[in-house]
Amino acid sequence: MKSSHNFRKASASAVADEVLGAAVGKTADLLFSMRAAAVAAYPGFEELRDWGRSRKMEVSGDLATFVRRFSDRLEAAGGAAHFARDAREAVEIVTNIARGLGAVAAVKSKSMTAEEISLNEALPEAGVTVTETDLGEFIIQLAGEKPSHIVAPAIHKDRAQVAALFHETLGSAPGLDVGDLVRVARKALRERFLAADIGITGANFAIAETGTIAIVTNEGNGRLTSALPAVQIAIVGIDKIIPKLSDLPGFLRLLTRSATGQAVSSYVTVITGPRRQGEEEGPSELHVVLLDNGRSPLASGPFREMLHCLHCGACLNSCPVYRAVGGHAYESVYPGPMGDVLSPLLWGMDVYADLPDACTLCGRCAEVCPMRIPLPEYHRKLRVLRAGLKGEAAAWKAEAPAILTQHPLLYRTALGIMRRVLSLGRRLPDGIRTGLPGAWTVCRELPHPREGPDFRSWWEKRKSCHE
Amino acid sequence: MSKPEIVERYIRMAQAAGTDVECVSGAELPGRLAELLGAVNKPPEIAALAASGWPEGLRETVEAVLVSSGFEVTMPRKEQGGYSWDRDRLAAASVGIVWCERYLADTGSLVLASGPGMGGLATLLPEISIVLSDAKGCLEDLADFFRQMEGAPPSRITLVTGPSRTGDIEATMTKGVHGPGKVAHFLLL
Ligand code: SF4
Repeated sequence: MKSSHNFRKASASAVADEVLGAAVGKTADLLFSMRAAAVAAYPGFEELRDWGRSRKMEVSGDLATFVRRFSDRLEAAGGAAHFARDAREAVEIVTNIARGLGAVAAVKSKSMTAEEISLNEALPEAGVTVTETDLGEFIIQLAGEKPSHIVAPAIHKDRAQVAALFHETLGSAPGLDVGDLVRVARKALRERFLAADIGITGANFAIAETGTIAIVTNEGNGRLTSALPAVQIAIVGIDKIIPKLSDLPGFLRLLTRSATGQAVSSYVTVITGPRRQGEEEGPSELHVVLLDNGRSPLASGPFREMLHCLHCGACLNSCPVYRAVGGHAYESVYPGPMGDVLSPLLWGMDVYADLPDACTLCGRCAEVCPMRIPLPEYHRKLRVLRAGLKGEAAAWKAEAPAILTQHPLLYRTALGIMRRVLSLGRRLPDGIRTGLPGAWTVCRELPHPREGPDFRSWWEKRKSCHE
Repeated sequence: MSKPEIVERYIRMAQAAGTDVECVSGAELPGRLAELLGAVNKPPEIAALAASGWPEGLRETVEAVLVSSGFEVTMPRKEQGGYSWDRDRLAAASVGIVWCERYLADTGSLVLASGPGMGGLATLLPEISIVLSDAKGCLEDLADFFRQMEGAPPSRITLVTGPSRTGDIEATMTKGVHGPGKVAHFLLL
């Protein structure tokens, strides 16, 4: 992870990149409107959101018990459960398994959790080459870049860029269209699937009751990764746990509609242990690495509901800031509103100090979040928390707006003073006027209060006419 | 909902998801199957066929159609430890055919449960996936499937809804990225 992240600086260059802006805008718009249509077509969706939240509350309220139950049931089904307190431990577990097998090639289906522990960087050191098999991730890997969206990782690239990349790295003809590019990728990736010793997956859900994991993809790469290689390793954040198998249908409805606006994705693979006696499909060894990496402490803190995140990406698609800058400027595995909150919580306030500012508090994310996570509220809380770390005065500054809006008299008095100061400011020379408030005026004008009475006194007069 | 109604709903939903659904009688099946195979493939090609799960006699019927359409057939072979595919032949197959016990009206999904010889990979590796079911197999939704499931879940349950697809390049929907680009479902009614 970055040791000194600077969102302002990183986003400035992203905003200037026109290809990026157009590509991110196009996909985010499409996903946003598909979600809206899918939700509108499902009358019980609001109740379903409440239900999903309450099921996740049950898990986050007793996380350790659910983790234990999941691993017990997984082992009973013949799988191996591993606990990783942090990224380093998780990587160690995976590389040890790989070394033990003498593995040389792994295929991987999309997993933000694997991304979180930087598994792709560690495996080559253990002598294992890893191939990303989700088309978007494959493109990113060939380009030597990082994903920029948790659901559509190559959202920032247009088709011409992909055609040029495949031409350079896979030797395909130049200038191919989307259909041909997909054929090229299918052929290249199929060979890797058949040759792989290990399949590395994430999981969208881990079901405590049965020790089951569920993997959702449209491409089918999750299914291939978990079905062809002799050994499967699933990297699963402990936040992915849901209580029962009977909860899965409801959560699938919430996830796929929110992520891509589909009633269901093309493939949902529900895996309970390795292949059984006599079967010809699936791995003969199934390892599940349960990753904590800063999650357990969240369960008892003020950001508990962040553990309920389904990683659907709906908040990204709805976010005006994400849409303007794309994912890379966040310099984190988790971009957009969910990342603004999660990154500082998982990797430290000092590392991602300014991400809670990458938010206009417009509230669109909370409107679309299937789990009703209070994302704007969490952004605000993080700002207050950060200010508290800086000292009393700064903390008070961050709390001031909340205090003001809760006390009408105080609010009115403060507003009156501001009006006077601002109208005075208008008469000041330009340099002083824009220089005084500092950073605030770098991209904004100071507001000019209109001449004449303010709204309140105007309304007082009006009101008496109506009565 | 009555059975015919939910089957109708399944057909609507599956077609919306991109699955080609055809209702046929047992007598019509060989002819229709041969038609489809002739249209999509130029023999000699390999077809991957599930070994188990079929209702009495149906696998033999399908196998005969495949052979007479010029296909070489590969099936999971039964050995001492259980079933196994000939990997090279499976990978070279252009068509895969399995029996599917259950499917869901709510989302238009096929439910493939694992078991010895059930041949799940035949619905994944070849470009064309052909699936056969009967009207009895239609369920309301996944919750219904879980309710009817006896005991612990099988090692894998796969829901297949339409062809394999991707929107990863400029959100342009493209079929057949990893799995089949065509899924044909014959309903024996
Ligand atoms: S915070 Fe909510 S909307 Fe955002 S990815 Fe998580 S579940 Fe989806």
